[in-house]
Amino acid sequence: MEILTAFAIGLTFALGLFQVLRRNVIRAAIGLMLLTNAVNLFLLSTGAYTGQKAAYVGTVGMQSDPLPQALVLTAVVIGLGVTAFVLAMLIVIVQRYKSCDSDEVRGLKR
Amino acid sequence: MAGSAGRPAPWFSAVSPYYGEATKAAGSKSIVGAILADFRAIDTLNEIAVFGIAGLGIYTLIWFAARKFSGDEPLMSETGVPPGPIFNTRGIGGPQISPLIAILAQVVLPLGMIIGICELLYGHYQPGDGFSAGVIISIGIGFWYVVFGYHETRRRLAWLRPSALIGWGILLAIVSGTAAMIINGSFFSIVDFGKMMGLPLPRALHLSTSVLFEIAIMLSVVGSVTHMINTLGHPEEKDTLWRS
Repeated sequence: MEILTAFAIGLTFALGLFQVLRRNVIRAAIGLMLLTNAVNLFLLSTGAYTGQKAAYVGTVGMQSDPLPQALVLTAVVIGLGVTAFVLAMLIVIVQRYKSCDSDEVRGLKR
Repeated sequence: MAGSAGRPAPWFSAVSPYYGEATKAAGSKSIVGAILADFRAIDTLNEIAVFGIAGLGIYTLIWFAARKFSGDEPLMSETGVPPGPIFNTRGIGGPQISPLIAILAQVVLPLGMIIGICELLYGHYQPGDGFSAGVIISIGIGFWYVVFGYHETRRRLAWLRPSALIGWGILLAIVSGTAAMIINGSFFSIVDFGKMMGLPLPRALHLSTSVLFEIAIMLSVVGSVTHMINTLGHPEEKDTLWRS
């Protein structure tokens, strides 16, 4: 199961990295979302080594590590904000340059 | 369980047992919720500040871009999309709203608010925190935008002012943290205001700094998500807070 999780997270990260390096800015935005979620999943999976029970006071058995979960909860929120902001920038880029090609998008002012 | 031979020995975090003990001492049950709202509250304050800035930033970016470029050239005319709102939000099925989906939307939003407030108030004993409460309420509001369209939703939900919600949320967080600092000597330390003032609250409901902080998170998340939906849907509309 660990091998499968590791391969799935690695595949998501690779797909995200590949899409970020594309010339199409919309594909780059999708790649950024995939990268964010791959990193979040990796951090979350580091907390499941000692156990998979929910981290509550009084849980019998081996609890999962609560610290990566708290970290990832913050990171998910920041990822949501970043995604929304990138989508807003995409709207402005498409309106101003009438193109999704990142080679066409050059210069801070037109 | 593949590869049991190469599996590393289980390791133990040095910090997590401390948080477990501290959560038990603070009187709550959810360790993750206690870490977010009590022990690492300044991180969470930064998080809601970043999220609020993202919402306000989208609003400023889109609104100024739409105002700057709507005068001399129409938006997206070459691609065939008519100038005006980017997403033509008029509700499902054009101007006529289906009564079934309208009633469903009117049921879903109050129900979502009740579920969100329950998650928020009892988040220290069960799953849920201020962020998930805010997102549940925002999903109800987004459903209204899909069903009734932009203008109808703004008319019906006139109390929903996103910038004010973000501001009140962050202000409430800072005020409750500062009050705890005055009483207890440490920013965002755990102070039960309800017990201190002798308020007759129901069992398991505490008006402590963490609950106030969760309310602050919920307010700013709802405000920020509403800002995002508003401006991504209708970039030329200004927030009613600063209309003069």
